Amino acid sequence: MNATRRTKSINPLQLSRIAFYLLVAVTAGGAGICYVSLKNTQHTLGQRVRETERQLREYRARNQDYATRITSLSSRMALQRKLESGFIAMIPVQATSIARLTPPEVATDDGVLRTASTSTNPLPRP
Amino acid sequence: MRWNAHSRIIIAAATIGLIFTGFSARLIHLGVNQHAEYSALAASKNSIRQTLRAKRGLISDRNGEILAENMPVATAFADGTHIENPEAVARVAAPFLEMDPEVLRKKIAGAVERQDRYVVLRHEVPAEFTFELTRAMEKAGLRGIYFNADSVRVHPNGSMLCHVVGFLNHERRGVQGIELSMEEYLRGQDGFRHIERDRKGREIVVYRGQEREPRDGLNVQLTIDMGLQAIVEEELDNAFKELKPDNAVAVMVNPKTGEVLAMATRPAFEPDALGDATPEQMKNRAIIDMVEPGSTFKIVVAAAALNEGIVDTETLINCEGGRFAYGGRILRDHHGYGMMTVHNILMKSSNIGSAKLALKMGDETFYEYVKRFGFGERTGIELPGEIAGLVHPPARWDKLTITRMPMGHAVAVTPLQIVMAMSVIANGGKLMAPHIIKSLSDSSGKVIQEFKPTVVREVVNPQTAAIVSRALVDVVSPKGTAILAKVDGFQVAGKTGTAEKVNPAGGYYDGKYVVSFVGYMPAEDPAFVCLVLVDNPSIPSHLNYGGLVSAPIFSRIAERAARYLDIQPVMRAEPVTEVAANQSERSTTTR
Repeated sequence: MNATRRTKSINPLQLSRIAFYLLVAVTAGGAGICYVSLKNTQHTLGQRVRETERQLREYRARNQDYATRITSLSSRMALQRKLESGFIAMIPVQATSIARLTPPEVATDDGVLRTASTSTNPLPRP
Repeated sequence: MRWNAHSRIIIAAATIGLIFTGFSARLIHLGVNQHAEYSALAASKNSIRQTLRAKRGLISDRNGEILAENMPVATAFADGTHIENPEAVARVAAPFLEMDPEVLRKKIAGAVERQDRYVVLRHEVPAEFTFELTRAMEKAGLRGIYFNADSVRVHPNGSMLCHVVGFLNHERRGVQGIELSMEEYLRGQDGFRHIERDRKGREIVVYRGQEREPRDGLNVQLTIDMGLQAIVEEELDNAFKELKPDNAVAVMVNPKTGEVLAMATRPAFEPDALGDATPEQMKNRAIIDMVEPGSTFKIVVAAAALNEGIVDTETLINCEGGRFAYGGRILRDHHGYGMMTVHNILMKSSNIGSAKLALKMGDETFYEYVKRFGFGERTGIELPGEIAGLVHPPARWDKLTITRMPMGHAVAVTPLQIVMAMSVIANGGKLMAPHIIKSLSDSSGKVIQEFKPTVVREVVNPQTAAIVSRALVDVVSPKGTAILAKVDGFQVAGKTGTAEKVNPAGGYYDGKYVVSFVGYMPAEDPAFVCLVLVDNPSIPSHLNYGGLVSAPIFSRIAERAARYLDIQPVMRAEPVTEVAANQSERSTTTR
């Protein structure tokens, strides 16, 4: 009799309701996990953006630094210093190597006519 | 009283409800009433407004040769709130900041003690060191030293063209030269970005706020040709060493366009070592110094008289044998000349002839031509500090002014004004506006603005200019006063000037002269006009003439410039012996 009474008091499993709540829980949990995952992804991407920007800044700065050094080392003053120290030398261009659109007049009688040249300046200095 | 289950539940629920109501009330109070206060507190701890520096524009010459550019550096600073172990941080950072570890430690420890968030450790740290230090700090698990990106201006050519390019102050603002006059264009506009940082001081990228990209400054291209500038400066340097003057100036201009091709002043300074420079060395005397021009001014009176039809090429002027009494004073020539044409007055540089031309013309007309040639007003060149010179109106002239001004006395002009006046003759009578900026372009190289040549006015007609030009060619001949300005293979036109140096206290210095030569070449189709002005050269008085001091410097500059510009010679060179003979004869006659 007791057994009969116990059997009567047991509630039947309401599977549909359990399934519903499980679904809600899974959906809510999934949404939460997705949210956290997205936030993490966003954060990771942010870190990568920051790192890439840092690298870009570094490359730009290095590039600028090297460009400045190249300019300084190849400047007119630097070349002049190298020329004076004998590190580099200037080789005169042969007349035969110069192509002129309007050929210069050729000296006639005394051969004095020439392109201006500092080395042949005949004028005495005061 | 007995508590039954129902009342106990009600009391418990009410208590819990009250507690949560209290919490809610507090939350509302914090979130609404004290929102601003706590937001500001959070922002001050985590949010910063990051400045994104704009790059200052470059300055280059007409061929793209860089004259001033930026080198990336950074200002290193310590954030005391992020540092836990000052000793460890100082040990890692000291080699990269090139500082004594103990000094650095003390600085950092001070920042930590005061919880100071910005203590500058060192300015102008090379960019390379900042990257290496950041890595070293990360590797050691340390934080608290950060960098503000910055840049310093460097001048690859040192002191060359220093007066024109100028320099910046410690706030990176131009204070002289193009750096000052073009500051607005060169500077650009800094950007900004609002960012939030995490507990470790790293930026949280997802919380980036408002942002504005920096706008880099425009690049300025000058009309200066560094090839010609180098020639001019080298010759001026040689002259400065040899003659030891107070100062020297050379200016070269394209008379057809008004473009300044070269501009140099001595003494000069090193723009990357400003601490060693004196104010006198920093003056661009081509535009801020005024001198009495001397005989170079005679082109004004000659051109004016011809243009007004007061005289023609045949008119003879009595030069009184070298002594002319006027206004109770005697005006002298260096030689006694008789009747001379305008051509010969210019060629021989006769003071009396010039004075008589001005007298024929009258005060007002002469004054008008002085102004038309550009004297007494700023040329408007894009350089700061230009002065107008000093030309008094006829109402303020005394009786002698009309005879003194034609020979370049009683008037004060800048070297640039002299060059532009000579450019009028070289350019067929038209006065061009001198300019030194060729174009402005953005960082991608796109030209934003190009500066075109501007005709200010037609001062004299082309026929007058041609007549004066022929006379100026003869000035640079064995008959004239400036044979030493001659350049083989070319016709050179020009005029010498020798003036006593004005004493600012009044009167003139005894035995001190400002000697000059301004000329152009080739005379038939001028490629450039060049002035060489030497202030008080240390040479004997009998040699202190424009024709003897400045003319040879001009010759050397013009000769090298012709070769540089590949100008074809058109004349047969005069044999050396003839030139030398003429020179020895002239050395005691020119002024």
